[in-house]
Amino acid sequence: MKIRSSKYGNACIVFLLSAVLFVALTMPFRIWLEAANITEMRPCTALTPVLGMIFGLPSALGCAVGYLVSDLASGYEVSYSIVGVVQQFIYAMVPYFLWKKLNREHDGNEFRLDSVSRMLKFLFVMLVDAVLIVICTGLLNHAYAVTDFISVNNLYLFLNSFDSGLLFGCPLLIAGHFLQRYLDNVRNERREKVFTFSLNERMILNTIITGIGICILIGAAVYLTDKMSAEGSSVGLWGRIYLFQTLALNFYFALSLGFMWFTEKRIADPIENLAGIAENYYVEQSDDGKRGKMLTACEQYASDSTEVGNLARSYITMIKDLENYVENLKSVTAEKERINAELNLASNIQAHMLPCIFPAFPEHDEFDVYATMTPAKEVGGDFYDFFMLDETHLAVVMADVSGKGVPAALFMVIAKTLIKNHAQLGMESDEVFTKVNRLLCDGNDAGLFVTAWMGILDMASGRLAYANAGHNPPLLKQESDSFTYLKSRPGFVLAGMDTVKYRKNELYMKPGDRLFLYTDGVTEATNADNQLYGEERLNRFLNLHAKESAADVLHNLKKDIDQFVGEAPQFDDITMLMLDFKKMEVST
Amino acid sequence: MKINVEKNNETLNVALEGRLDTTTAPDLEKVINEQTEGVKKVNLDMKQLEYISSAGLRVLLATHKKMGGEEGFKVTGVCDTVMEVFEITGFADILNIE
Repeated sequence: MKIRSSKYGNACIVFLLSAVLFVALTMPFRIWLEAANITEMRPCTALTPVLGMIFGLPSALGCAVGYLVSDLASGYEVSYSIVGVVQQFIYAMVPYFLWKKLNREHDGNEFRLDSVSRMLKFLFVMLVDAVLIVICTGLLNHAYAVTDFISVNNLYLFLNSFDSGLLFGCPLLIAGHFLQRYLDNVRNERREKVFTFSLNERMILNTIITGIGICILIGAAVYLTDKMSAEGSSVGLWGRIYLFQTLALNFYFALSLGFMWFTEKRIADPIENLAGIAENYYVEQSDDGKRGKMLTACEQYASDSTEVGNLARSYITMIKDLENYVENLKSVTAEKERINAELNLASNIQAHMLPCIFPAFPEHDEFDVYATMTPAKEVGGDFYDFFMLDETHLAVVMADVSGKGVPAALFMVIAKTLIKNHAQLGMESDEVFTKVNRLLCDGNDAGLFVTAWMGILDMASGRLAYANAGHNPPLLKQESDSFTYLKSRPGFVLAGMDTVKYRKNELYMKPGDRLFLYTDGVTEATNADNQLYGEERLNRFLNLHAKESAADVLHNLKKDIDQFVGEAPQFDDITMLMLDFKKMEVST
Repeated sequence: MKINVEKNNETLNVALEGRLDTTTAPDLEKVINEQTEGVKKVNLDMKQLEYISSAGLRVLLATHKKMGGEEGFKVTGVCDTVMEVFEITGFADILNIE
C-alpha cells in the first residue's frame, strides 16, 4: 500500500474519514437511544476530541461536517445545528492545541498511553473539553430557554461527556496510536511490529475494559431496579443511571490510576532503568564517573524487598563480577603480550643464527650458495647451515626438528651447534650424524627428533660425501640433464635411537651442477583443496627455472608456493637451499 | 582426525582416520598416555590415515619406546603416502610395520 505523499491529499483523506466515522458512529445511537436526546452516551462524544487531538484541523472540519450531516439526516433545525457545528470544531481543536502544549515530544509515540502521567494528561484534556461542552451547550440551552444554565441536566451533560471521553477516548487513542505506527512503517518502508504493548499500556487497557463492564453492570442494575419501582420520567432514569455510573467509574479510575502509578514507580520505571544500565554498560563502564552512577542507580532499588530489589542486587553483583573479570583479563592479556614480545625476540635471535648474509663467500668463485627460511609460527624448527671446513671443503646442512614453536626452536639450536662443531673437527657426514645422534638422545625426554641431510663438497675434486638422517631427498642437476631426486637409503632420524649408525654416500659433482635442499614444508604446502605442492611440481619448477641464479630461483619458488597455497593456512616452515658448483678449485 | 580406541585385556587397538599432523598429534599422544597403563601391546591401525607429519612421527617414536620396541608396538594398514614418509625418515627400519 502506498500512501500519497501530498500533504493536502493526506488532509483530504483524514477529513473524509473523520466525517464518515462521525456519521457512522452517531446515527445508530440517535436512532436507538432517541429517548435520551440530551444526555446521549455515545462514542462520537469521544471521537471528536481524540481525532482532533491526533490529526488537528482536517479532522476537526470532518467532525463538524459529520455533525451537520447527522443533524440534517435526523431532521433537526438548521440554525441549531450551525451552532453545533461550530461547537464540534472547537471541541476538536482545543484538545489538539492542549495536547501539543502538554506533550512536547514528537517521536511518533506522543499518543501512546504508556505512563500514568500521560494518562492523567489525557484525562485533563477530556476534562477541559467536557467543561467546554457544558458551557457551550448550557449557554445555548439557556438562551433558547430550554433549561437553566445551573441545572441537573447540565451536570449530567458534563458527566456524560467526561465519562464517554474516558471510556471511548482511551481505546480510540490507542487505536489512533497503532494507526500512526502503521503509517510510519509504511512511510519509512520499515517492518517494525505495530501491535506491541508495554506493561503500563496493558494495565490501562485492562482498566478501561473493566470500566466499561462496571458501567454496563451499574447501568443495567439501576435501570432494572428503577423499572421495577415503575415510577419517574425517563430523563430522570437516565440521570440516575449516569450519576451512579459516574460515581462508580470515577472512583474505580482513581483507584486504578493510583495502583498504576504505584506499579509504574516501583516496577516499570526501575526495570526500564535497569534495562538502560545493561544496554549502556559496555560504554559506561570505561568511564569512572559513569560507572559510579550505574552502581548508585542500582543501589537505589537494591534496598527494596520486592523482586525488583532482587534484580537490582543481582545487577550490582554482576557489575562487580564483570569488573573483576575485566581486571583478570587485563593481567592475562598483559602477560600474553609479554610472551609475544619475547617470542618476537626469540624468532629474531633464531633468524640471525642462520647464515643470512649473501653472497656468503665472496672470496670463493668456485661455488654460489643461497638459502631462505620462512617459519610458519613465530619460531620454527627448520634450519639450514653452510660453512667452510677448510679452504677446499664446504659443508651444507638442511634439517627439520619435529614439532613447532619454542621446544622445536630450542632443540634446533642444540642440533645445529652440535652438527657444526663435529663437522669442524674434520669428520665425514656419516660420522658427524652418528656422534650427534648419540648426544641428542641423551636427556631427550620430550621425544623430539631431527631429520637432517648433510653434504661436504670438496671443491678440488667435486666429491660430495653426504649422509641422510631421515630427511627428504635433495634434488640434483648434473651437467645438462634435468633435476632428479638424490634417493639414497636414509638412516633413521637424529635423536630417535641412540644405536643408529649412519651410512656414507658419495658422488662427484662437475662445474655447472646444482644441488637443491629443502624441508617438507615445500613439498607438503597444502592448498584449499587439500592438494600438496608435491615433489613433481617442485621438480618441474626447478627444471623450468634452471637458467636463473640461485637467489632468483628460491624467491620465485617461494612465490609459486604462495600462489599455489592461496588463502589456506600453513603449518610448516618453508626452508630451501641452493648450491651451485661453478668451477673446480685449482690447487696452487 | 578421528581416533577410535578399543581395549582388550592387555592389548590396546587404536584406529586413526584423517591427518596426523601438528594439530592432531597431541590428541593421539594424550590417548596413548592415558590408555596404556597395564597394556603390553599397542596396535595402531592406519588404514584410514591419509597423512602423517613429523609431529605425528614423534608420537609414533615415543610410543615405540614406551612399549619397549617392536614387540609392544605394531603399525598396520599403512598407505603408500604414509609409507613413503616412513621410508624417507628411516622409520620403516625401526617400526614394526605389517
